[in-house]
Amino acid sequence: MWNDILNLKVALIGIAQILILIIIAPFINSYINKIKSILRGQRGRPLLQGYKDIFKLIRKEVVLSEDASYISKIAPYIVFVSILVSACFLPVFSPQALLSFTGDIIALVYTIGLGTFFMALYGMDQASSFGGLGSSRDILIASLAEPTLMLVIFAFALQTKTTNISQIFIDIHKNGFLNYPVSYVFALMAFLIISIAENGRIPVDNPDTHLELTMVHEAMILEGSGRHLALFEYSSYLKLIIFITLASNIFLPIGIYSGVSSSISSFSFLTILYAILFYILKVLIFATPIAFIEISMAKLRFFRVPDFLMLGFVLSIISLVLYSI
Amino acid sequence: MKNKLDFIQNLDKDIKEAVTENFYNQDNELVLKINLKDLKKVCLYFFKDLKFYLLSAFAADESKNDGNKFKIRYIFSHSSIDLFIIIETETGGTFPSLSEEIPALNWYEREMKDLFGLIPEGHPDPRPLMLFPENYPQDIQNMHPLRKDYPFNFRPEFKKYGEYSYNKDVKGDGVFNILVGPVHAGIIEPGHFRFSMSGEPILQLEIRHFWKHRGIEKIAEGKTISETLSLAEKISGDHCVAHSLAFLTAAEKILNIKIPENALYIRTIYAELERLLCNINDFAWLFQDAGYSFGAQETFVLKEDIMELNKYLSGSRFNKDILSLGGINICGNIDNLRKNVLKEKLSNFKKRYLNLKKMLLNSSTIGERFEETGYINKETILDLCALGFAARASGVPSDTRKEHPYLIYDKLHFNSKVLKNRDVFARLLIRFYDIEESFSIITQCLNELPAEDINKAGREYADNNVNNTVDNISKNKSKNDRCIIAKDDKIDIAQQLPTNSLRSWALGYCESQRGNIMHFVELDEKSRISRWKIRDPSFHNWQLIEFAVIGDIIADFPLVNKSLNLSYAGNDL
Repeated sequence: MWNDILNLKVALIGIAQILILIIIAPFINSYINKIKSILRGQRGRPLLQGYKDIFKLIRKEVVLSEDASYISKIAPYIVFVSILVSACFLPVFSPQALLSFTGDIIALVYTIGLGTFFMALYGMDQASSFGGLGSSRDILIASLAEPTLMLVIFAFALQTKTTNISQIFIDIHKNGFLNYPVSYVFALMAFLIISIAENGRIPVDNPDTHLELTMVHEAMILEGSGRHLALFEYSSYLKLIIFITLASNIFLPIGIYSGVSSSISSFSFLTILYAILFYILKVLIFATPIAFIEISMAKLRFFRVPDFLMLGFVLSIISLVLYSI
Repeated sequence: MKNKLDFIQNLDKDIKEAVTENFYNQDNELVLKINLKDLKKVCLYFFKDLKFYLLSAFAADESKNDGNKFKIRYIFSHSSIDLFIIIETETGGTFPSLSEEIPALNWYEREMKDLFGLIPEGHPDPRPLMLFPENYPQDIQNMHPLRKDYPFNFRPEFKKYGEYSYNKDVKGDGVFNILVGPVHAGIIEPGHFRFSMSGEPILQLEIRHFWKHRGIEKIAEGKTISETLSLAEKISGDHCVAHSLAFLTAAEKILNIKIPENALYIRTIYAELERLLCNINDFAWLFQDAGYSFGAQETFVLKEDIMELNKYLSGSRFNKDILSLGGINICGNIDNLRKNVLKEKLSNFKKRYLNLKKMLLNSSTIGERFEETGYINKETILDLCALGFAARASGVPSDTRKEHPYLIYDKLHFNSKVLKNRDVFARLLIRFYDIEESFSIITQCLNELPAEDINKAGREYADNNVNNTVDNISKNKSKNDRCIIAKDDKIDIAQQLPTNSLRSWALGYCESQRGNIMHFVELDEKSRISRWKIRDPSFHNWQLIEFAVIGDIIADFPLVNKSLNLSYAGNDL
């Protein structure tokens, strides 16, 4: 009986976490854009623009190229669902994620990878020259970013002796990262580089450009329209928030709601609300540097991007080594 | 070679014999009439032996009742002597192609083929240039717009006539083509680019332009000078002062109009303001395309402030409609009040510009993108006779202000910097030098601006309106459209025509921000336009881009393109 209630509670909190991610994802994107605009001395788009864009796109019809196969029809949904599933692995304001009973942090990484794969297929499927260009670039970046991400994850897995995300979060939350502070700093730097690369931000990719020839992520979805485009846009918003959430929960492990595993009496809405508010604050804190980086740098020459990712790889190895000694 | 008048004496004996007639059309325009059979010899002598630069080449329809007759003129010049060599020849329908030897003539000869139906014999690439095979009949004789018997309002039936064929295909494993344009994602003009690539590196680029041919040269035929002037301003929107200046220079030369000292200074100021504006704009866009939005935005703000200054000075953000035959329009006058405002604003702009420059040159990511990208070799520049900063960034001096001083440029102190780096960064640096020279030139002009010799009515008008809003000035402008030299209501143009010839022509030229602009203006006996050849620097420089991108990756193409920042409209008349 108590177990059932506990499970129900876990499920409810898990669903709440997913909903929070879905709700704030467009906002965070608009927030980064707003900060960038303010830094440039512009007024900037309204903070709710992300929602308006999605709403507008959903109502529009889908136009597909004559050369499109079934891949183009299913890819947007697969991309969106894979990002959504990986979001379900993720502890947001409580360590208990919806899918914490199955799958670990490696599963999260490769569920995101599934989305990347289908997006690359989508880019090539419509026989547009830019799509293929974008796909080949995106796969290059993704394949170089992946080992770094895995190494960063291993650094934490070694420390906590588990690959279960919830367990990692609980451990870090309990012990803090004071055990291995230097290792953490390097891991954070490596993770920042990965996040920039995976989410197509400057200096790797320019999300605001209109120049088809320089695009990476945008080139793949250049042929997208209507609700397909809405799904792609939403997926990229969600992907960004997944990385920010990971970073903020690992590197700022405070204020997480941990009442779920203890007794029933601590199931209080107020504490959950605090945890949610604290989570949003953390996300905003971690999103701000992205805006500053995008403002202060030019986009890298494309063949310098591997060097940039290699730097992330080296940092992640340092982090791993520093932990081990 | 330094002496203009002895020039003809020092030519090769062979060449002298080929010249059937020679005369000075204007002080610095030496006309050499030759027979068609000597064309190749004479042109190659100037281009290869004397290292002259091709500035323009064009035909004119001189047909009478007794059959077709066309005049073809080639204009050459050299940086060390203030002299234009105009090689003039006549033909009935064909002429020898020199494109193999003078690659810069490639587009000119195809243009003559399209617009006049003259066949360049032995041309390596005889595809149509501007009359697209898709929607213009190719096989019909007399379908050539610039022939006099072609009605200006003629429209061919709208249907598909043929197919476009690309020049050369690159073949091989993993080679694929990317077609870009003519419709682009941003708000830019139409141009079609075919990249042949193997992975990211570009193997070959073929450009296809002339999507919006407006027929400006045809429309102008039979129009008066003032009507044509308003066309000249619309050739390339951002260069309206430069183009109208070039056109007016030619018209004033033919009509022998003396321009007051004051107006010369003011014209120089506006020409430099335009150069300043375009350079600032270019470098803002370079940063935008490199993804450095902060620097770009700051530079756009500076550009906007310059445009506001333009609006204050002339009532137009692009300084449109300020030049007029014989001087400048009253609305563009620079009196003491405006002079002081201009000085004050300029020192402010200069301070901000220097801060921006420092900030941007210190950014390592910018240097990383711009250096070693988009090399243009000196040989390419010389072969294609590239103009302006593109040439100067690759070690070839090209600045009409120095070579053929016009307005008051011979009295001013300025440098025309030449760099040898050849890359995108060099073209950016050249712009920095140009911006600084523009600031210095405007300051010199303002310091030496002679007292106003504007007519009384004009001065009163200016004094009364100087405190008014700019909107008022532009509203009243059309009513009070007076020239500085205008004594009565208008100049009696017909009386001023030289009496010894029925048709008379002159060259008008100036250095725009992109390079030399060359206008050829020919007036008929009623002093209306009979032939007007416009040559924007983009017509030469567009062909550079096919060479500049080789060896670069496609993601860097926008940078190479923006570093040249060519005009589609000025190219496509």
